[in-house]
Order: sequence, then C-alpha cells, then structure tokens
Amino acid sequence: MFLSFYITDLKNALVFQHLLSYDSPTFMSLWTKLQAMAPESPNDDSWFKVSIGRSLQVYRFKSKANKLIYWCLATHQSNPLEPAVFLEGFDNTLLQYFDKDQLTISKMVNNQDRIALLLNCMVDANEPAVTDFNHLRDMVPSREDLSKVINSTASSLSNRISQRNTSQVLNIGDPAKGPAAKEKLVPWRSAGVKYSNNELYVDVVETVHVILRKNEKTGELTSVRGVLDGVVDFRSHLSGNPVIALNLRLRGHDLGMPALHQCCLDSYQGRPDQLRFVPPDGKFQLMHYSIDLDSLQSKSKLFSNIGLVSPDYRTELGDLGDEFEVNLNIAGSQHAKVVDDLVITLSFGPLPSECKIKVLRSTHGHFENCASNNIGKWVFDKETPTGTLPVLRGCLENATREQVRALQLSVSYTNRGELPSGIKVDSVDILSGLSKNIKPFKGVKYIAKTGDFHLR
Amino acid sequence: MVDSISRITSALESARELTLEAAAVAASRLGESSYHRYSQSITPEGLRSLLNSRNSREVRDGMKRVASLMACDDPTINLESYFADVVKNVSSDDVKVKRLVAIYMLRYAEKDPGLALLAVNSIQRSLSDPDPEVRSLALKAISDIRIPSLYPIVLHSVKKAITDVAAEVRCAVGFALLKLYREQREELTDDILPLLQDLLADSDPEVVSSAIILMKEAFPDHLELLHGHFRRYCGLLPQLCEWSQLYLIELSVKYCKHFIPRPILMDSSDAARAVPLSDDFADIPFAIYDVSFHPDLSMFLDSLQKLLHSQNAAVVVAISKAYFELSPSLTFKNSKATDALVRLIGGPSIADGRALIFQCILVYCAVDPSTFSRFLNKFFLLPSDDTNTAVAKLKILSTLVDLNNVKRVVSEIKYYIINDQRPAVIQEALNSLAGCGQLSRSLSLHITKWLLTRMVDSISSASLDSFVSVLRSLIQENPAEHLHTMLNLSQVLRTENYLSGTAKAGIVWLFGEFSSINFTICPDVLRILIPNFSREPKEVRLQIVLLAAKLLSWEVDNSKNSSTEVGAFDIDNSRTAQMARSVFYLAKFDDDFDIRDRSRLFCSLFDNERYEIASLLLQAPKPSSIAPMALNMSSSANASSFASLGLDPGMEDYLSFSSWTFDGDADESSALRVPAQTKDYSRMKTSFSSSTFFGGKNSDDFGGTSPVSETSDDVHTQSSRGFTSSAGRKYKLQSLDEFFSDIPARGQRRRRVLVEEESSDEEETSQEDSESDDTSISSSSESEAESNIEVNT
Repeated sequence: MFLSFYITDLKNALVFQHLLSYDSPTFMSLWTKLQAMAPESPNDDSWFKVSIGRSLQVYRFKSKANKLIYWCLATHQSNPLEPAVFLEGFDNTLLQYFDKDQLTISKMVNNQDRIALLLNCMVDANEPAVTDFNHLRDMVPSREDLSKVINSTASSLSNRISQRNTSQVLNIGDPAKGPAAKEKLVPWRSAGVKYSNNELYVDVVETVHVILRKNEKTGELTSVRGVLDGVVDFRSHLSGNPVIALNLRLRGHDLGMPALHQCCLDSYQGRPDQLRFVPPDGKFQLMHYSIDLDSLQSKSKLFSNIGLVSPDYRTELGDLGDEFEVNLNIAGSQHAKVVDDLVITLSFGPLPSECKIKVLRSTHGHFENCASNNIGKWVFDKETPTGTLPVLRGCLENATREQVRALQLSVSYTNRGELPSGIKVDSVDILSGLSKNIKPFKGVKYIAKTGDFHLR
Repeated sequence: MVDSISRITSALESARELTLEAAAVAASRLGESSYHRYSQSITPEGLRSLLNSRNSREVRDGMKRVASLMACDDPTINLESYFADVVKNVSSDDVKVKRLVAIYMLRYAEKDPGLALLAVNSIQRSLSDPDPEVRSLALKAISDIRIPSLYPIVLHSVKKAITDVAAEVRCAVGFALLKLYREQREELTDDILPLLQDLLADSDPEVVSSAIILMKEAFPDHLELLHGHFRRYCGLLPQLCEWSQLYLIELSVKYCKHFIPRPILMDSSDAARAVPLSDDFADIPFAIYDVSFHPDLSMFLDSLQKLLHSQNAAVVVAISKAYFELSPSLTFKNSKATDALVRLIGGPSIADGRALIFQCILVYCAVDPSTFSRFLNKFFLLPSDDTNTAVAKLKILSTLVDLNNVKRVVSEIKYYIINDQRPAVIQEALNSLAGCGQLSRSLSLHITKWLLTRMVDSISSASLDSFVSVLRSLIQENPAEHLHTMLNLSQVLRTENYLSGTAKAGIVWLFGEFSSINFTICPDVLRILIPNFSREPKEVRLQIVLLAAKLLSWEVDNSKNSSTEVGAFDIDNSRTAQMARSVFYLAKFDDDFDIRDRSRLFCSLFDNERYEIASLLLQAPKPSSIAPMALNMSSSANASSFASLGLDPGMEDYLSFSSWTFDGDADESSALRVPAQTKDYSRMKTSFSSSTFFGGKNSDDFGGTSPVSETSDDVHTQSSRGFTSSAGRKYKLQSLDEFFSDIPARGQRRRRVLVEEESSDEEETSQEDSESDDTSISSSSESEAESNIEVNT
C-alpha cells in the first residue's frame, strides 16, 4: 500500500511530492525521520530500501536517464520488488509522456500538475492501477510544447492555414481525435487515432558490457564476461489500428528470452526476429533483449561483436620499465563514419603520492589527469573517424614495474549506424489496418553505446 | 468594388482569428517556464479569486497553482484554508479541473469533513454522466473521501455502478470497494464479497484486473472464489494489467496448493515407482524422472510461459517463484524461467531493486545449485554494480562453485579482493574464497598462501581483520594441514609492524586455538610476544593473556595424560607456567580493567589448581565463522532457514512459502473447477445497440455535422426514448440540486458558445437522458430508492 510519492534531484532537494492522505508525511518530515532512523543511509548512494518504523518502508529509485531520484513511502509489501518496479515504470512513463530523452528539473516543476494527474491515475486505492501509457495519455491529454510546434514542418503549417482549418493548427503531431472515440480494438492502443502525417520509427540501441582480461604472460585478451544489452524502441504515428510486421536479421544470435511489449505477447511464436503486433500510439519499448557473449565459441567471433573500438595495452616499456602504451583499434565501417565521445580511462592501483601519470605522446585527443593520481582520462574529439589506430604512450613516474603492470582501461563511446551485434532491421511492413493510399514514412536508427567496457 | 472590399474584410477577419489564436497560444502553449513564472506570482488572495472565478480559464490557472503548491513543500501557504474555494470547482465541466479537485480532496477531505460533504452532491451527479471517464472519476473521487457517514452512499453508488456498461467504471468499482473495505472491514465484508464475485465473473480483463487487486488486498484467503474462474483466468492472464498478473500468479500458486493434488514424479527407469512431489525442493529420490501434473496445474504453468516475456521484473520473479513452488527442480530448470531471470540481471544495476532479484536467485541456488549452474558467468561482478548487488552476486557464486569451475571463480574473486574499494564487498569476497577453499585440500592451502602474501603486501589495513577471520576459518576446517601456514603467520607476527591491533589479535587468538592441534610451536610464539607486551595495543594484550592461559591449560592436560598420577604437574618447573605467570603479572598493571580482571581470574584458577574449570573455559571447541550457503527447505521454509543467506527481511517473507495442503484425488479436484457463468456487460450494450444508447455517438461524425441538425436529431431521439409513467411524470435520475430546484437547468445551457462545445453538450444531455431511461426501465423502484437516499444526505 503506497502512502506517498516524492521526486527529488540528486542532492535530495524536493521537486515534486504527491501525498495520498492527510497523514502522509511531507518530504521534509520524511527526510528528518530518515536521518534520525538511519543516519548513514541518506548519504550512502546504493540503498534502495530502508525500513522506518515497524511496517513502513521507504523505497528509492535513482533514474538512469534523468538526474532525479524517485521515492515512495509504502506499508509492508508482500513483494518488496513491487515498489521498486513501480517507481522505475513511473520514470519511464514520465519520459514517454513528455516525450523527452531526459527530464530537467524545470520541466518537472513546470508540470507539477500533470505529474500529479498522472500519479492520480496510476495509483488508485493506494495500489497501482492504470499503468498502460496510451490509456494514461487518454486520461491526461498531453500538451505539445513550443519546440514541437516549431519542429513540425512549416509546410504542414501553411497547408493547414490555407485550408482555413485554424482549430487544427495547434494539433500538429497530436492525434486528432474525433469527438466520437470509437471502441478500442486492443486495450493498449488509444481509440480513433488519426494523423495527417503517418510515420513510424524503429530505434535499435545496444549497450556493450564486456570485461576483457589480458593474460600477463602471453598478452592474449580473453573475455571474462560479456553481454550485449539491446533495446528496440518503436515510435508509431499511424492512423487507425494497423498491424505491423517487424522482421530482424539476427546474424545467428540467440536473443534468449527477450522482454516484449504487451502488444506482441499474444502473437509471439518464439521467433524474436518476426514480430507481429498492433502498436500502441506513440513511443514505446517493443523489445528488450540480451545477447550472451560468453557463449560464443571462437575468440574472433567475440571480438567482432564487441563494437567498433577494441583496446589493448602494453606495459613495462622503456629503459626504466615505467612506460606504457595504449593502442586502440577503431575498426572501419561502411555504416558508421565516426565514433562519438570516445574516452579511455586509465587507472592503476593505489599509488604513493610521488607517482604521476605523464603522457609522452599521443596521436589523438588530449589527456586529463584526475584528482587522484592513479586515474587519467584520454579524451578524444567529439568525433573520431573510424578505421584509425590511435596510440597513447605515457609513463608512470617514480613507480615500480608492478605498479605499472596494474594498468586497467575502461572505454566509453557511442556510435550510430551500426550495432555491435550486427543485427539489422530487415523490414517493417504494415500488413493491414491502414488504408492503401497512405504511404507512411519509415525510419530506422541504430545506436551503439558502451556500459561497463573494461580491460584489465 | 464591393467584391474586393468583402474579400479584404474576410482576409482581415481570418487574420484577426489567427492573431487571437496566436495570443492564446502565446498565453498557454508556448513557454511553460513563462507560464510557471506567472503561476508563481499568483498571490494568496489572487488565488482565491481565481478559484472563485466564473472564467474556466482562470479556474484552471488557480487549480494548477493549487496543484503545484501541493507538490512542493511550501510551509508558508496554508492550503487547507482554500478548501471551500477549491471544492466548489468539482462541478466544473473540465475533466482536468475535476481530477485536480479530486487530488486535493484525497489529501484534505479528512481534515474538514463538513465542507467535503458539500462536494459529495456534485460528485454524485457526475456519477450519471454520459462520459464513462467522468463516471469512473466520480466513483474514484467519492470513494476517496474518508468520512464514515459517507460510506453507505458510496456502497450504494458502487452497487449501481457494477452493472455499468463501460468497463472502466466497473473497474473503478473494484478500487472503490477496496477503499471501503480498508475503512470498515468487518461491517462491510458481507456486502463486498458478493460484489467481488460479480467482478471476478466479469468478462472484461480490465475489470478482472481490478477485482484481483481487491481480492489480493482484502480477501487473500477466500481462494474458493477462484474455483469457477481458474481455467478462464489461465487464458486471460496475458490480457490483464501487469500488476494484476503479478497478484493473480501469487493467488493462483496458493490456490493450486490448496485445491490441486501434488504432481507425481515417476522414475524413468522404472515406471512403477512414483512418488508425489515433496515440499522439500531437493528431496527427489530418482536421478531422472518424469513428472505428471494435474491437467489444471499444467494448464496454469503453461499459461505462465508466455508471460516470461513480460517487461515487468516483478512478474518474471513471481513466475519463477510459481515454478519453484509447484514443480520439481527439473521442470523449473527447463521452464525458461531461469533464462528470463538471467535476462533481468544482465546489465549492471545501480541502486535499483535489482539486488532483490539476486537474492531471489540466491535462494533458488542455495536449494539446488544445478538450476543456475550454467549461468555462472552472469554472476561475475561488473565494475558499476552497487554494493547490495555485488554482495548478493558473490553469495550466489559461492553456492555455484564446484570442482569444475573453481579455478575460474577463485581467480575472479582474487581480482575483486585486490581491486574493490568497498569493505562489504571485500568481506563477502573473502567469505566466498573461504567457501572455495573448503572444496579441496590443495585449494585450501593455495588460498591460505595467497591470503598470507596479500596480508603482507596490502597497504590498507581496513580489510586485514577479515583476512584473518577467513584464514582462521580455513585453518580451523583442517588444522593439521596448515602447520606451514601457522609458521608463516608467526613470521608475520614477528616482522610486520603495521598490522592493525585487531588483525594481530586475531593471529594470536589463532595460535591459542592451534595449540590443541600442534602444541609445540605455540609456546615459542608466546615467548616472542612477551617482551613487547606493554607496547601492544589493547586487543593484542588481551589475546596474549588468553593465549598464555590456554597454553598453560593444555600443558596441564598434556602432562596429565602422559603421567597418569594425579597432581603430578609441577607448576614451578614448567616453562609455560613461568611465561604465563609473567604475562599475568604484567597484566596486573594494565590500564584496561578487562585485562586486569581476566588475568586475576586466570591467576586464581591456576593457583588454586582448578584445572578442570580452566580446560572447560579455555578448550571449548569453536564453531566455524563462515556458514555454508546450502539451504535445506524441509517441510516448510521459514525465515530462520534464510538467516545464513543474509536476505532482505521483506524478501525473506516473500520467499517463504506454505506447504501443499490438498489431499483429495484428481477427479475431486477437477470437479471443483466447473466454469462459472461470466457476466458480459457488453451484451447489454448491444441490446441497446446503435439505435438507442449509442445513437447520439454514432450520429456524430467527426464534428462535421451542423449544430442545427444535431439539435433536431436530439429532440427526436429524446422524445422517442422518454419513458413516461402512468402519472405522466418523467422518471429521471435527480441529484440533490435538481430535486430542490425542480427547474431543468439544462435548458438554458444548451445553446451557448461555439460549435464544437455545443455538440459535446448535446451529446452529454442526450446520453444522460438515455441512461436515466435505462435505469428506470430496468428497475424504476431502484431509482426511487436512489432519490430517497439523496434526500437523506
């Protein structure tokens, strides 16, 4: 049973609160209580649940996309996972509702009334109620903001003005609903959706988590643990109730047990490369899959699936043995011309204070030393062309060979146009439900990101 | 000429329209921040006047301000004082304003019941609104007001709404009943139960969803309610809303244990041997076996398969728990539930609830490691895992480790011990390492050796204590093998000066314990320690005193065993006794009273030759410091058996389950689940069909029809549908206002404002009529009762 919800920024300053009864504490009193009950936990970053009192629990969820922390106060739950999952879902709903990649504090403050309305729909009788996004949007109609109006093409604006249909000028990109909302075909899709511009977009985003280990003797790289975390995001702006078939080219990967959106659960035949569904209106996450890199048999296969950048290093170079060299191989690619925001973080074990990382020469980018003397960052330009082999040579002053040997690298970058796994969208077909003369615009985007990419 | 002027005029006209639109846009749509600034600038007095305004836009602005004041913790403005001003807007036509008022009431109604009752009347009126959304909102709002005198009215409205055509209204009924139940449990149970039965029998998944939430919260033990629906729900499961899926799975697991016989396990090699599944998960007599499920149970388990693809982590965990409880481990392993769980934990987790999923897996692994053994790699730490997750992963690793994979695991754990900065993680990693060490003798030696070198090398002393305690447990496990380790440790004691007090004390203690295995090396250790006694930290001094006492006690015992004469021990000639004496003597002058006290105790024990007491005190066997992770799920898992796993207390409750209670045979069980009648209210809808109830809706054609035809249409339908009693009076649902005023207020409202709004107005009234007709046809007496009650309020 939920008692109240709070949203704060990362410094625990209140952004929004929603109290479900008169007795629910405000965030200020909750915070005082928390500090009194468990003095260390408010400052510790990693907790998600704390008990205050006999049957009261505070759950905390730190948003991954936003700089926000979600809190809720709940009485004892039979399943402690429930509030955590609910808060995560709430975060996603807000992102979808405001149609942003990241929510700012000011956006939240400006829309406190809407967030309250959303929560009011999502929670009834202190239990989770409506969580389906289309349903929520029907209950709390969203409002297009300035950027949307400007972004929507000028041509359609002028078209509509010339048609003198001024009342619709403001509804650009918004499903224009007839006054008679028809019966819903499927529970997850709003009824009577109508667009003048029919569009659909598929975004496939893969995040690489891989830990490589360098054998001290042979210098060979082996993988300790590797997984590709993939998400297929879908954005549909289509009239009526279309049935869509999405075919993927999996390149022999096993997607395991992917998490699917409700809309393709029923028709799922165990083939993640062939999905058929009636999409909800707007943006939603169609599929979340993970590819296990540990199960790949050959090493070459592993390295062809961890993305464009493969790191390597050598240590104990130079006369004193305190030099090291970091080599990157940014593979050439037809589809991705550049790699964005490439940063290599070098770290050594704890070092005595007289040690210092010093760069001798580097082919690309610049080097930043961090506050602690054992960590440094090799920061590349915004864009680094693919098919290059950057090298960084440096030394660790006043260090022993052992200390230099403890070098570890972590890699972070993003790139567009190609996925580490090589998965492609083969086709997106509209099987039925859309009138024949409408030719919707279809867009596909591939993004690769790094999560935990380490070489040790 | 005239033509051109008219053209210019029309152009100007349209330009003016455009400008007006633009102004409206500028005021509201463009720039949330500027709106926010405006909203912030509203003064308390200004807010009051906005709320009381006749202009709907101003009311809206006012309500928005109220909403944002509720959302931020501003102590300067007392929102309660606006109660009357806010609540009167509940009759607004704007659904958004209505909702905001409902949110306000939810929070403040308890505080001011008298004023809150004022709003009840308008809310009740909107209970018969043609728009189902408004009806369900009204039901929600009225049930949200926690005032005891209101409950009969809420119950009455609920009873009426349960036959509503719109699913979302019936769905709101479930939640309203839950609120009623929470406030007045005992008194209303008899009223709520039959309504719950109706809701459960509903054909609409949305309504079933809310019914299940009600059932789970209010009547989790009335499992017999599921009898008639169990089979239908198995099919319906994927269509329910995600939270109800979760609850239904949990309820069904309980149901299965109560009303379905256990699955039968049959030995594959010998078909004649068959036993029912035991409550103990691991207790299976056959190596390979087939399972035969009751058809209903296997239907339930099959229906879960599809939901394994759910995006809701809690649902996946609930499914895994269902398999875990209802099927033998082989079925669980092959059910793909394990794969789905592993998918959930693929990436790194940062302070979300994911650690709970790991705890869940930990319990499964502790009961039967084979279920997750093929996913060993998945439990290696990622650098950004948070502490809770890392600890749970390490615990899982130590349950999964066996002789085949131990090499990989040990090298990983060593890496964590060297590189991780968090003491809790290092501690857990060391524990896991100790667990690995217990697998074989050579491993144990290897690990202790590695720990010793780490101890000497490591710069930070924070984790040294845990090093010592792990060493201790490894050595305790098999002390005879570790003579070499002990010699090394004595070396450490002698040479390393930076050892922290507790670490050193631990080593000294270890020698005290080791004296029972190999006495010969220990006195020498004591000899080395004595000269520096006064310079040691407190903990070490205490342990030295203890070591001396232990050694002396062993010496006495040893001499007793070698020469059987009683009292042969010559205390004056024993080297150990002399050393012990000098330690006790030194301790007499200690700053610390505990050390002084103990030395006095030991002194008097030995001086008075109470050797038996001394050996009882000092030679007691010590339990191992690291508990094994294996879990024995005998009869029923209770919280105490989880203690060694260190789970979250909430998770412990969640994972402990009841045992199977059904004793009847299969046919008896099947007979219980004869499908019950479902209630399909959409049939009611079709019987009215397009001609009546939906007549108004269908004639509306995307706002294209002219207002004139609309009105005439309306008049026509109204006249044809009106139900007139013999007295000639029209029965209509009346609210309190209407009852007293007795003047049809709608007449004036009809032909106002703009085209679009009018059409919606029309629709509203026409449908309101038709609905009131509908109820009066079905039971005119009920509508009379309704108006009576309204008068009473």
